[in-house]
Amino acid sequence: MSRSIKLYDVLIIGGGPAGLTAGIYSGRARLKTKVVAGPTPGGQIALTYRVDNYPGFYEPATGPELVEKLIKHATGFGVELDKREAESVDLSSRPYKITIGGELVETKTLIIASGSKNRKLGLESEKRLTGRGVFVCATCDAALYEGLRVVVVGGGDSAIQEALDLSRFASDIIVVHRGGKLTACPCIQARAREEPKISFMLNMVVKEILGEKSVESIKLMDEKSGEEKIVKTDGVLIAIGWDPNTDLYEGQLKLDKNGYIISDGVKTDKPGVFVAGDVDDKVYRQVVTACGSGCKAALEAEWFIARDSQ
Amino acid sequence: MKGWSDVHVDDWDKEVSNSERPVVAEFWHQKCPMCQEMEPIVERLPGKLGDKAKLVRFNVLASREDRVFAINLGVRSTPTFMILCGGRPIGSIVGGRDLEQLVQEISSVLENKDSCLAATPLE
Repeated sequence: MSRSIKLYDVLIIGGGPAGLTAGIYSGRARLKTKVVAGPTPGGQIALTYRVDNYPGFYEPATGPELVEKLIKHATGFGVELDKREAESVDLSSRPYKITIGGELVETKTLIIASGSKNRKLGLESEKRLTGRGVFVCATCDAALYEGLRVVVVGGGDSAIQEALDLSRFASDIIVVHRGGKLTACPCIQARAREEPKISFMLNMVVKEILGEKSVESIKLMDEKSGEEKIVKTDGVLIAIGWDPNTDLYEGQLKLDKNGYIISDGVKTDKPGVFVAGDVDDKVYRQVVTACGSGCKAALEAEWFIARDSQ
Repeated sequence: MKGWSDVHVDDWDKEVSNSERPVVAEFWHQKCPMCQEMEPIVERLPGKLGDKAKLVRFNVLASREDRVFAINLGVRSTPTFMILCGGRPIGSIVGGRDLEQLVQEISSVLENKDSCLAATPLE
């Protein structure tokens, strides 16, 4: 009887820099490789206007340009790029079983590079007004805030980068951060402080986003004095961090209380299952570190297959 | 795209405001990942909606004039599917949906004929 279920050497879930780099390495090692990227490959970097810290790209590239090159590089080594979503994963026995767009496939090794999703404030009004003034991606929606005010919630690199991206269009941008100091790197902070459209409100917590059909204002509370104030705004961009995309692995891999897969380097507690990129990175979260861990995971997968077949 | 016509600010009145049928306008742009994700669903929408509505696509980044027009209509995110009667918005669906959900949500707005009549200017 002919085998109808496809068997891969390396199956990579996630089509961002980590997953595509893993694909480049395992494709180059002539391993049968599939990258399950979903309909819009590229991950978080595809939503970034300007990448000016990727080594060798001394002329800043846009995120989508970098992603296009990574895809060409991986597929050039014979990697299959699958634009469907991984729906379920069965890690109870080897080869591992993955369902992608209704199709069951098997794989000797699995690299989880599924990235992360934007963390939410957790307010009812945030949910109700998403797409109606509440947003998470300046690259996607900044142009629709031309001449309008936007409050950016967050104080890290991505919040400040989003504020800078918005400054191309919005009339003024207020960065609201719950701490007393921004946590973004000094280089981005300096650019933001030089931008006359950007101002800062520190030690402020978001209590509510107000508006019936669309965002009209935001209610903030001063953490020190407890005083509440309402600031009129047309938009609220939320950039308060990320949570790992690990829902598929609940009950199959050990997760910590924040949903991160417990790992030792790129290795998980299952043989032949590896992690790479933002899904496993609470600290660095750079394109180059994602690529680095994608490389490590692919090399581990290659060595695992070699050992296993001896 | 088959079953959809591309409109801009210049032909909005002719194609949308003066349309005898209700209009579903998709506001999108080429750099919007969710719009790309929705494209196969958008392609299948004409077959599902039939004659219930006229379908138009509006690229918010086609020109500054188009962008400002969309902003003034209240578009704050892409994709936005706005349902209009006599050029007046009677409902909108923002963000990604599967085909069934999108058809159901658009149909429920279209079936509310009272809001369509209320939106139509009296002669």
